[in-house]
Amino acid sequence: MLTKEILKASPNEILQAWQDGKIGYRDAMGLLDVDSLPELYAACHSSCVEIRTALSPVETKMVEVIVGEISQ
Amino acid sequence: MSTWKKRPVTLIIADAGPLISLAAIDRMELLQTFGQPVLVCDVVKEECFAKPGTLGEQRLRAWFETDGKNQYHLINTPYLDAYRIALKKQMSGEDRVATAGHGDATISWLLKNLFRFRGKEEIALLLTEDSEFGDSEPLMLSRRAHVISTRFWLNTLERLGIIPSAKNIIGEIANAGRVVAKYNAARPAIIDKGTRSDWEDRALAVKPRDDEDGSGGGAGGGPGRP
Repeated sequence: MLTKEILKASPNEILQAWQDGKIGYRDAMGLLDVDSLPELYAACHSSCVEIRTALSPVETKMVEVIVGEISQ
Repeated sequence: MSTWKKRPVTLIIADAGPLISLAAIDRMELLQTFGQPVLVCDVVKEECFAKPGTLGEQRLRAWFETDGKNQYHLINTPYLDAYRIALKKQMSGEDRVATAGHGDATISWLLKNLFRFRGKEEIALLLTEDSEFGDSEPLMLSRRAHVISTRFWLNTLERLGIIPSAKNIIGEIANAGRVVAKYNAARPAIIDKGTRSDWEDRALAVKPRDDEDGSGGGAGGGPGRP
């Protein structure tokens, strides 16, 4: 569930929260009324929000689980 | 406890795009939600009327003529004559893109010379509609001014509860015959170390009270500060 703070946050803060892994891309798109993921990345670029290229700890864990399931 | 010192945005610099979009749907009063003076460069003002029959032309002229309810301030720049020459070339067909970049150049010039007009303490926010300005301009990369696109500005006004729906407004602009560019940017200025700045607090302070239906009316006359 989105916090009250993020609902009232600036677009830059929302993009930063997404890149920090605090909210998902769907939430970021919904909050900012952005239609697509490429547009969301473009918004980061235009807003000087650094785009994370490494997997987050949660994503890393998910990949490990999926790879583990596939290899079993 | 936060150790940040907070300094609010003190003036708005408007590009032609947002002005034309707001005029197209008779919502110039939304500029008053900034609660700060709006500076428009002479070239940008003329750009608004470069194409005869521009959407909302009469409303825009009225806004300029009445100083935007004491909110708008014209900034004369050294580029107006060059722009007019370029516009003539463009209108004659000699050079179809002769005026390209003139408005952006004047805004760059204004940002560079802002201290001469307004003092060193001013913090500017540039309201723009497309990526021509900002994403690659060396001056903007120094980030002395906030930059916000029309879309993200309206989106923020919606989330602050100042307007009911950004999507509806963008839809109205489209219905009027103008497409708001899909440029989404909200770039904070880098001020002094340890200092943060934003414009949202001021927007909430001047939030229109009885305007939830979007019928206009603005923020009680807006800022009268020169």
